[in-house]
Amino acid sequence: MRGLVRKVIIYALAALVLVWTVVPIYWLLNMTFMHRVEMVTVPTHLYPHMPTLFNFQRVLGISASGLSGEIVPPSGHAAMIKRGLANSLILSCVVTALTLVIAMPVAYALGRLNFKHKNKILFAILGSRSYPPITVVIPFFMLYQNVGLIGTHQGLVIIYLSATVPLAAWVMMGFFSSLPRSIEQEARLDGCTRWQAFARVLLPMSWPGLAATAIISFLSVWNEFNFAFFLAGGSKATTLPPEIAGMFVLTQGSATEAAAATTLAIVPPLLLAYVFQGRIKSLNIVNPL
Amino acid sequence: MKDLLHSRFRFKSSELSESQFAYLFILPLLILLVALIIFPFLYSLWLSLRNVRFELGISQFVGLAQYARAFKDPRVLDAIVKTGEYTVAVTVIATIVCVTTALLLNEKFYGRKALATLVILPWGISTYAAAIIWRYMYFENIGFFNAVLERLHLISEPVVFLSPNWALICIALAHAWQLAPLGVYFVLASLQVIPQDLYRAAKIDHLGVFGRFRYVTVPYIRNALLIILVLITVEAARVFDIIYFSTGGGPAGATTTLTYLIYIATFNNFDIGYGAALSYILLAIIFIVTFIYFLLLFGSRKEKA
Repeated sequence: MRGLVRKVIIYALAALVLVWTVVPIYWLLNMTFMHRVEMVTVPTHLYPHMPTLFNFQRVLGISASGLSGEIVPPSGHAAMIKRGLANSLILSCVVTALTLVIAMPVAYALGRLNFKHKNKILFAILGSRSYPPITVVIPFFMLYQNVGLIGTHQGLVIIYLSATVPLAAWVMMGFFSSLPRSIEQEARLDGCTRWQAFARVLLPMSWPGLAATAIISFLSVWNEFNFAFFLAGGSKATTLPPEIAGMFVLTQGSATEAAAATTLAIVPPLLLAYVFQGRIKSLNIVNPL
Repeated sequence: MKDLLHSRFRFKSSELSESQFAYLFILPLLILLVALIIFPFLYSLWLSLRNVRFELGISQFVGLAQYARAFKDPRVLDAIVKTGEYTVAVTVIATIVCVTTALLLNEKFYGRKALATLVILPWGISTYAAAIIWRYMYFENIGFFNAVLERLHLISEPVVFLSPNWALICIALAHAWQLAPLGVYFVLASLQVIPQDLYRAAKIDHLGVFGRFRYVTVPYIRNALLIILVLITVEAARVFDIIYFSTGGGPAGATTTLTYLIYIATFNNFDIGYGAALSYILLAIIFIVTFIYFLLLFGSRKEKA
């Protein structure tokens, strides 16, 4: 009897967790595959009765055929959404690559070497994470205006690196510190320099941690709204999130098309989150101190 | 030539002490931390002591006048209260979700692996997209909640979720949805190291489900939980985009938190000195809260030692 009650509770909770996690995403997809006309039917349809790629076609700048077969021209936002997608992809890749190159030695030093003031630096990393973006944006906005970095890729890369490098160093530090201590000692005994012990022996062992760190860096840039909006909003360098804001917040555009644009923005992160989940055990994020 | 360079480098990097070598490695981080912490910190401080109005061509030193103005401004106190309410709501909801899910995933049941994989998904979604997604859930005419409630004949009129009374908690729910998943894995990792003997011993001592949770589980997940609490609290207190995308500070100022007030002062009113002063107040609040968490975290470590 007690075993049965326990089972019922467990499966009820599991169902609840499943609904809580999946339903919001499902609802967005539901909107994405509906025609505007179907969206406003009463009672609201819980799934698309006439599934269509109409919204995706319109936001990606392709003429689509409407419900009665008429040809509908692309959305007025299509050019911006496409440019935003390209910028997001380029910036996320560039920043991720630079972050890995810069943060790996940092993480190695933090995770495996002893030096003065290490705790203070760790504290500064945590402190940098607690800065509200809106307070960082004001000084950078003023600075960038003076040096001409407003609305440029370079400006965004700089501000993104200042956010991703400490984060990546923190995550990778946990990974490095979980590897056996004796690795470099043996490498040094075999005649490696400190640099070789790091670059030739330790780094090649670190692929799992590197992949997870790369995912975190990529997502921080791909998902970032504030800096892109305030420092590059409306410019040629703008990423996808501010363009979606233009569609969703600033103009009362089509709700189904805004849903399609948002879906484009969340599909890569969802795939990466799935990959990341498989690697999370290799990280040692909780207890790196 | 290559050999020469190579041997020179070998000579150099081995001559360095461990400490010197470490500093060479962390130099880029130090530069970025200066850019991210010290530069905005000092520049905002300088701005907050001035009255800067570009459109009027004004930029003059006014001392602490902006701070005095902030403390007299009823909107500021209101925004601080809203920030507090919002942060507590997000932290409480996310913590409950996170601990419940982790406890669940620590049990054996059919489909556990699949659920553990799905649970991470909201983590990948950005806060702004979470705001959009949940707005589609809350919509009066096309929203999920009203659609379901209508089907079940529980309501005759659509419910207005983003109303002055409920908007803040509705957004907090969306934010907690997005923040909880990562914590699940932290808590789960610390649950998995609890020796099962302890539960058996507790059963022999006639501890009930809650007693076992309180005296066996909680001590083991305490540190992981505190770290998650710090992360979630800070995220909630400093968030801007979720409000910008879901309510724009409304309705009737119901969701105008401190970050949103800073945004209005700086980017709508171009009152940059005032915005900088407000952001200093927010920064002070966040630092105080983080500091309290750190006392709890490191205080507990000393006890153990």
